[in-house]
Amino acid sequence: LETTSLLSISPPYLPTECLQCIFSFIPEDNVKTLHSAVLVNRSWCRAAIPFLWKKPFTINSELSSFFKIVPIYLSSINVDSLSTEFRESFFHLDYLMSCISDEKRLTFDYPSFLKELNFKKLYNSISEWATINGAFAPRSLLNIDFELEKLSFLDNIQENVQVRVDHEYTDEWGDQSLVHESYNRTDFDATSDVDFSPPESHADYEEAWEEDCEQYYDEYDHFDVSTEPDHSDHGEEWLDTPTPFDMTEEGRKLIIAREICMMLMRDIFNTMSMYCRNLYSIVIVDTYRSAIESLANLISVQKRLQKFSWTGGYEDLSPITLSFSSQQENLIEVQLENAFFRDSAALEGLAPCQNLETLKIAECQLTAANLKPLVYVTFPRLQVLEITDVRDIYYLDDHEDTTPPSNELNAIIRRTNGTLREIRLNLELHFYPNIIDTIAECCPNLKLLAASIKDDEQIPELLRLLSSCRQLESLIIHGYNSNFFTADYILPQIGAIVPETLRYLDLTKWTFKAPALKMFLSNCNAELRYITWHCFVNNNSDEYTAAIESYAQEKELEVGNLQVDYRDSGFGWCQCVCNISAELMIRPNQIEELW
Amino acid sequence: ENETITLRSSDGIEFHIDARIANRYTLLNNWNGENASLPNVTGKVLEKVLEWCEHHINDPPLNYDNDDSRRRNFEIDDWDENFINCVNQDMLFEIILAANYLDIKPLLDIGCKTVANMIKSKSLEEIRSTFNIVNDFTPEEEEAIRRENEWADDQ
Repeated sequence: LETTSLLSISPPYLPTECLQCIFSFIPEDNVKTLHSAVLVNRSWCRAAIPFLWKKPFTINSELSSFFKIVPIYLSSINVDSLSTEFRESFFHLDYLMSCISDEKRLTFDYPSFLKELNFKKLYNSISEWATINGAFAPRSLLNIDFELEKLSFLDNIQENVQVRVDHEYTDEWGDQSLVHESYNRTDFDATSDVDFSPPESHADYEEAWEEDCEQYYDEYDHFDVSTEPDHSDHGEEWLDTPTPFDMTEEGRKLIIAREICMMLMRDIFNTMSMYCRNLYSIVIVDTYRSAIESLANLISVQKRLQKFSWTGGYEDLSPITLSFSSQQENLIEVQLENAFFRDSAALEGLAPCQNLETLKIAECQLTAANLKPLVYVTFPRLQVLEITDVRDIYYLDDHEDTTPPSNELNAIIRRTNGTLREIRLNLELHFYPNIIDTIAECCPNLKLLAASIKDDEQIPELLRLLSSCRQLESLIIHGYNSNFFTADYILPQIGAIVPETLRYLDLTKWTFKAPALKMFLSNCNAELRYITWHCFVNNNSDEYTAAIESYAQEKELEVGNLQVDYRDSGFGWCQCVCNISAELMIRPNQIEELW
Repeated sequence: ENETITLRSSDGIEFHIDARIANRYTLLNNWNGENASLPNVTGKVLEKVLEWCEHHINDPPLNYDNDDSRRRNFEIDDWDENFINCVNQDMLFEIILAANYLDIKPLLDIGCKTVANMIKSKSLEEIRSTFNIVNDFTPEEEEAIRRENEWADDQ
């Protein structure tokens, strides 16, 4: 009673820093709660507004919301502060400002709260808002898009902004994705299909937007499927490479969109170099002609860039990798996908980055010369190393410098002094002799290994690795390319040697008969939670599933999701290839006991 | 026997605490002394704060994580949850204020996360009534804030 009466006469006062601490525990996508908090009273409003406006272009998905954000955002621009030269470069500036002139003076400088920016959504938001609000001629709309984009960066000095320049198609590499942990499929929308004729009404536009999105996702799915290898001949590729210049209808559309992007990017990066120098993360997804020099300059002016991720359309990234030396104290994570290095010393820029924890290089046709600058470098904090190269350049005799970087990669792993926790090598390992042995010798703390083997050659090395890396939790060893690796004789031996810590075992494209699986599971001291493999069966996989169920029973586990996919792969009328995967879970009653 | 120091609350109540507690939290150490008192913390609140500190005296050395996302995801352990659930709302706010004032960040986080959990999914009116907060916006201010943040109302 005493407390109630006290509360009724003295509402609790918390200073702004305490309120901010409270709002920091509200999930960023809980816009509803933050919106309510903003309207509570003045002090709550002041404290909650920065959280609500932290990343409106990232967490938002409603078209109607975009239309409401854009005028507020543009109203924050102080046109008078723009240089004359800048103002004169915008033919639509007066018209644009007249569209927002009825906006009253804003209560807060909202863009200053922006911490993360999905550039693609910003681009689309402004484009759509401009389309709805003006009867631009189809061609001039294109221009105003450029101008609005440039303008949107002015006068808004953004700290901690995460820029995602997401453009057009991407490829998803299934579970073994390289850069796609940070990539959200919903970030991709219909820029390439923007209809330049203005819709008649807002409702029409919403409808058009939905159609665009649906169309895009259709295309995305179609594209995804079209780049998948032909299963009947090759089976599933572990890390398949997309075709950058697909000449399907979708491909042409994408190229058009990329041309637009090309015209924009230099300006965007140059403008950002002036105003955005506190970026901690730059994620560029699938660009083409990406104004590499301007991007390198943007990197160089940063004060604390920790993460750089680039997935592109096979461009020379030398200027970018050389610019990494400017961030030598800062860079923690570097991911490069689908590029090449014309300057053979390009990776010298990485050498001084002593805080590097993650290095992923995929489809960059790495040669010995490329990796040479890193041979004598120690990355004392490197935990994740991923190298993917499944192209054929190493087979080309006439190709300039086609030596695979075998010695160099061995040397890099050797110098990590046991820091590596995760290694993914999607390489033709026969070009990299002894690499598994090096890992076995130098990475005792390894928790994840992903690699592919072509034949028996690497098995002795793999056994040595399993004996050495006793903290291994995930083992992903695929048969290479179109080969199914027959493993009946070796599987039981592997079972006896896998570390007890192993939980995830992916043996895609390994084939063995059910007795070999039984022996493997019987020898296995680990408590596996996931296992997948291939086999040849006569439309009946009961023996295999029985072995898994028996194993589960022995380990007091429960078989969860058990998938058996048959595929007639031309092995006669009776036999077909079958992929089996099983998830094993703790039994519900055991969970209760644990609690 | 462990060395003790004396803290005096704003209403003159003295607390003799293990010096190790004060050593963990720099600001507490500053208030050690015969005539020193904490002007902004009452005895009732200081007692609760010190109860929490004593329980955590053997925790690993403080290495406060500045990573916001990691900090946001921490789990309140059972003892802390029980501790914070046993205080009324008024005391909860007082503890937050004291933890902020004395720079005891883990306790501040526990208090703030608890309040954040109370706010989640509540409407504006529910928040105001839960915490007995008076709306001090002028009608014009409130209208402007609503208009400028209308996009978030659609979510």
